[in-house]
Amino acid sequence: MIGRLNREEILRYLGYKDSGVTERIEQLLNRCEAETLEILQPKYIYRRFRIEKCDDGIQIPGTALVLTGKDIQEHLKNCNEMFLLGATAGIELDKRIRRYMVTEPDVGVVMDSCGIQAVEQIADLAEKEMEQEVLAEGCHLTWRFSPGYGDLPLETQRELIRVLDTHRKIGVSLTGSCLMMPSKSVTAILGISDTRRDERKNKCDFCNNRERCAFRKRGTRC
Amino acid sequence: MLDFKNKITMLDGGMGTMLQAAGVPMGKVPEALNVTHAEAVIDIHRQYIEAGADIIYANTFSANRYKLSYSDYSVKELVTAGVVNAKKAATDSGRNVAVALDVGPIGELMEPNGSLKFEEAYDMFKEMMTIGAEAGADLIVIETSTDLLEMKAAVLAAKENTSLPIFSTMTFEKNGRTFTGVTVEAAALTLTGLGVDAIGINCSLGPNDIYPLAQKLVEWTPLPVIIKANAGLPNLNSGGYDISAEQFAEQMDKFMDLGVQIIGGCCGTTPEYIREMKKMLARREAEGRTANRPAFVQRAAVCSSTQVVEIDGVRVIGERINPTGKKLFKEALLNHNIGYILTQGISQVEAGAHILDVNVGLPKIDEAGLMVEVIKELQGVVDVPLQIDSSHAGVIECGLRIYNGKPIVNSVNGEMAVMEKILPLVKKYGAAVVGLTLDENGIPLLAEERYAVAERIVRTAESYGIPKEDVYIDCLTLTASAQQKEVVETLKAMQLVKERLGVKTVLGVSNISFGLPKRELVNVAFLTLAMAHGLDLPIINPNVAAMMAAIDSFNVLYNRDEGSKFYVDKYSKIVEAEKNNQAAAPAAKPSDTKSLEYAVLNGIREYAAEATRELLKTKQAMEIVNEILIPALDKVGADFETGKLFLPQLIQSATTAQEAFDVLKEYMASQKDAGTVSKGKVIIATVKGDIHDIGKNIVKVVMENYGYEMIDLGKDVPIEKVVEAVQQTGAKLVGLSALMTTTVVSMEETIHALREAGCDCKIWVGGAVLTEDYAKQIGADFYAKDAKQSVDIAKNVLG
Repeated sequence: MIGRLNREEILRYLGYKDSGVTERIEQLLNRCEAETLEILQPKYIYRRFRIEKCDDGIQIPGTALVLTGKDIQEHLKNCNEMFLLGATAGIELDKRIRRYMVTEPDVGVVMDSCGIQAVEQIADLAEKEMEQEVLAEGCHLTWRFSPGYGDLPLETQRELIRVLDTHRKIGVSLTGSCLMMPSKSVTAILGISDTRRDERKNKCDFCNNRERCAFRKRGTRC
Repeated sequence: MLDFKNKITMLDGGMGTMLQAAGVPMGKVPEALNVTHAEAVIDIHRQYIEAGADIIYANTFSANRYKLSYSDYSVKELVTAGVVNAKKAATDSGRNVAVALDVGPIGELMEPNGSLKFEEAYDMFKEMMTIGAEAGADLIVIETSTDLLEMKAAVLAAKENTSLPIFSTMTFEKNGRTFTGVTVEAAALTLTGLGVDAIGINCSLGPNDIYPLAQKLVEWTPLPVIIKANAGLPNLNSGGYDISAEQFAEQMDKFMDLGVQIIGGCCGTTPEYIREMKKMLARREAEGRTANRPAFVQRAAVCSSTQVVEIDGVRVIGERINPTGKKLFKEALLNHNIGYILTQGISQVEAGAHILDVNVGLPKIDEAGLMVEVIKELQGVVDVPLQIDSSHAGVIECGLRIYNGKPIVNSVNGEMAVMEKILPLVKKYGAAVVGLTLDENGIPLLAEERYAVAERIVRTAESYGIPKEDVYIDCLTLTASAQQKEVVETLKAMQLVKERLGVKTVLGVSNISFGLPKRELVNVAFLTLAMAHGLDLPIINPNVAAMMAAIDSFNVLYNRDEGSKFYVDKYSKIVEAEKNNQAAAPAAKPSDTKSLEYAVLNGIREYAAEATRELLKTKQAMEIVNEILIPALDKVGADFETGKLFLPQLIQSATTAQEAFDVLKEYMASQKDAGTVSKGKVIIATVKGDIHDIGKNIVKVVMENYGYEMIDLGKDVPIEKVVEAVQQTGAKLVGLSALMTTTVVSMEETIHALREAGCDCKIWVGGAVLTEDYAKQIGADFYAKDAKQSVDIAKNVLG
């Protein structure tokens, strides 16, 4: 499903700025990328829904999912329909990272970043499929917007993963504090609109952690 | 109750599909319909009964406390209504139709993959099952499970709180594994052992894709097998499935040849599918076609949830997780250094151990609690099965309960009192057991006498319903330097046990050489002799290459390693690596102060140990720490801070220093009065509710290598546990980590509790969402943005 990982992104997650990548680190990156790709269990699920405005925000008729806050309304302002997406890199990666954090933590840390990059790519693949579907209808997709962005509460995850039945379909569930397990998983909301999407807004604008973000302090983004 | 053992039983089909088709509103939980739209639910049951179902599943799949926590109904209301509805349909039909309480997964992943604890899952299952049984369910179906440990919690909840029959079906993917990696074989071994009444596969795939998995299943269990397949593959958007009722029945036909006895449909199937299957059964009967299930062969095998080890050749049990005679290991247990124990486990697996023995017994230690924790943590990082080793029945039971898979219990002996305590546990939890050939009179000297004890153990085990394939006899190694005459009796006894009882044998090997010089030579010779006399499970240190080589060679000589494939593969790689090492070595031969410093600065782990040993010839251990390691780490830290180095490099340097520290610690453990390299105890934890521990682990690794004694409480740590640890260890510095805004709350509560309890310690915090101000606001003494700053804080507080 995925042939290569994006090396620049991985380096960025690791806090790399502009010092040279030594040969030793290069070898480490090669090893971790190969191993990540080998044990990756990519899975995704998406479903298309008609959406309606309601008192609290936006709802999906026939389900208990309600999206609250002004940011998601802005995000879906030209949309009558949307996709919900869930994607995961699988549980084996978590196990392997746990193991390396005990025996070779340098490998563990790099694998962790490789996993984050991998699940982004899996979500990209799913997005391409969705895009093809809507392009055929002359429509476009919005960017991916996730629970926890802006003023859309993280707790929205509960209903979102229930509506997608992710536990059963792709093996993704939540912990008591709304964290996804396997840890390398993402969920997203993509609007379907008849207008082309804007240039990507700086996603930091939506981020609740912008004031404290270590990436921003280094002059990059996550 | 229905006879599902001697005839074919028809189950029902999908519930969700039917509810949607009935046009009822799907709210937060489909089980709410049991109350709001009882008639619609009853009508669906009725349709399935009319189509030919002998057992119907009540609409209770997700009516557990976790999933209902956001609904307006209680578990009791929805489970009771679900069972009552199904019973009404069954009674009205006038046929003998049984009602199953349907129990799906909790919906949250269990430890170590998630944060749900075994006992929490158990309690939620218990609640559902007790209510279901009271409401009149005839059996319990636990289905769609992808986690074997969760399934085990459910099975135990059912067995310990009801007397209903249990059907247990799991959901696999095409590759033969569940989402959490459980194999069909591991599920069959474990669940058969736990004593369920029928085992099977449901959901996820259509019949054709399940078929190869069913072939394996009928081979690995003697129990009736259940298949409840989906109507093919789903269309994600329309919600429809791709095979018709006729196609479905046709595909199910060949399962009947395999001897599958209990069939039905899962997602996408309707009464039509059940009706077609009834027709298929009638056709088979008319044509006189009967099942041809292969005769079941009981195997000697144990497993984790992801790996089955069949004992059909020499299988190595790693002995290193055991404090006996190991100062560092004892220290690790006392300091709750789980990381050290895990490292011992992982390195044995890497060296070729097939099974790991786990013994954490020390005086004045919470052995049961530690056994549970070590098993959980080990199963989170290795796949091999474990052997639970303790002399206390209570500890063994705690371990057996939360073990994921089928373990070995070490051990019982010929003493009736011991067997009466341990064997019921072995049976209840479906484990294998080691039987030592000794009894209240000690170790018999002669082979025939030891054989007699072995026979008594095997027969007694059988009387408890434990098959002899699950009893591994240990004929006991005596020390050659003390009881030279009896050494050969062990070998003879083993041969007798193999020949006459036909059971597997196990033996701790290295005791043989106690008190002799060059022990390894004697160990290798004895191991080789023992294998020739029928030893299946040597308990050894797999990190000793010569011992593993003896086994590898034995497998070649006894024609077990066909074409010497394994041997050639393993040892030609070793030869290759040796060649490369020789070629590379002269360039960077570490021999002086400079090279250890160089190794740490550049993160070259492989040179650190040798360079340190070399330095110890001329320097004190503390000199090496203070003059070389810490200055080098400081320089790396400074370069990290200015962006010259980045995270993986910082960690590489830290782990290189760790190699050096390990050598120093070992050295000091071997010297009397040499003191310690510890610069003080530091407690570190990821707070309650948070399971992101990478950041905390990085901090731990780096600080450890500055000489701080890190007591790592792990992740999702309850507030009381942090307070308790500080009080017990007297640590003067506590580090707390939280990644999310939501979990900073429990960080604040933890700090508050520490202050409240009057703990005399400084607290520093870290994590993505924290800042200096925020840290002060929640009552912390310090904030660290990374591992480097954490070290600075420790230097400040502890020196």
